[in-house]
Amino acid sequence: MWPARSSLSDTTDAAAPPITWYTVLGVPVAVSSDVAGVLACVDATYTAFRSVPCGPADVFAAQLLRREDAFLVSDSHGYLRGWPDAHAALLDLLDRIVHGVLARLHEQGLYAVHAGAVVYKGAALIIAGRSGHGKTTLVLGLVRRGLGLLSDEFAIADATQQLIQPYRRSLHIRPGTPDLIPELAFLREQPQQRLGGGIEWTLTPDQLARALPGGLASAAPPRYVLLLDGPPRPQAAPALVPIPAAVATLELLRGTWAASVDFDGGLARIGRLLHGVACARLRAGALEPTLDTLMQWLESPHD
Amino acid sequence: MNLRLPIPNKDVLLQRVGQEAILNDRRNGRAHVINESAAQIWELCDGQHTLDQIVSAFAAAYALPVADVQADVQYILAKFHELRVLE
Repeated sequence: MWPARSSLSDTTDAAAPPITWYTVLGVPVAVSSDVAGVLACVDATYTAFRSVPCGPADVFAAQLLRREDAFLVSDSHGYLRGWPDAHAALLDLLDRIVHGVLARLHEQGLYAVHAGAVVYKGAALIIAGRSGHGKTTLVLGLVRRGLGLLSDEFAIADATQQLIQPYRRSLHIRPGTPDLIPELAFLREQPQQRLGGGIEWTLTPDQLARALPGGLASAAPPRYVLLLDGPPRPQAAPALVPIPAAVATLELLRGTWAASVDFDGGLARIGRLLHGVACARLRAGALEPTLDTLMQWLESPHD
Repeated sequence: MNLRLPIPNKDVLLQRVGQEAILNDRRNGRAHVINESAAQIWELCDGQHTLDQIVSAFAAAYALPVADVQADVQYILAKFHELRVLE
């Protein structure tokens, strides 16, 4: 999908740049670029949010344009930065889209927690952890066991309705994942992309729903929070330790964009959201034993 | 008789979460996780209650003799001072 850098630099369109439109949880987004391949890369991640064009009011716009000696990334919030390299500019564009959407969601009262989320028997399980700690793999493993997907990237917390909303961004799948989730072996026939976390495939929500039994879930109230304690250690047994909801609240706030602009509000909302929620810290081992441990925890009674 | 009035710092906010609570110190961005008992004592530190009154109210809340809780309340208040969340 992503062309070589040399061809990027050579391929531009002198006409007005094409625009792709999305609506992300009610936020209208317009992405434009005159650099070949850029819109296709963006679309691979946001394809489930594609929408018809809408008026300029309230649209978050982001664009990547080629100029004489730089690739310029800008957005409707006043951001502007030049990059000598088209791929670096693409990563910045993707970052700007995320920031723009999260800012608008915050205005709507939605908190995007950097976490995966799945639904077990009508209740949401939030899985928080740093990049590379195995959120996506764990989410996929749970969906393989029949839980429904909300997101592998952002748990969208609607504190007013006390719900975790689905976030239908495509999943970014790393090369080793199909070894653990055999149903995703078909990805090996698809082109790879470089979207920030190394070489990856994108897996659309529709593809996931066809491949794994859990499929896509609807919004659900939070009932469980799991904090990943470092990257998986396949040689070690998984260990799951209950923790206070207050500790989980603070950990989730660390990964909540809105807390960087309104910590007090974030603390109050996430704190309320986690009232009565079972929380635990997980040191993951190999995938299947870890899933066994996690399913036991989900199925056990919680006060 | 102890007439000292523990006063919370106005930049420290209490947020209850489940069975615990968080003291959010906005002056330095630090957050302290405290248990339910400590949260109750914090809420009694309103600048209106003396130390003796806090001990009495806390003991009454748990239906315990004052003598049984006095040391615990004083320990928690000492911790609050240590964390600099009281004036």
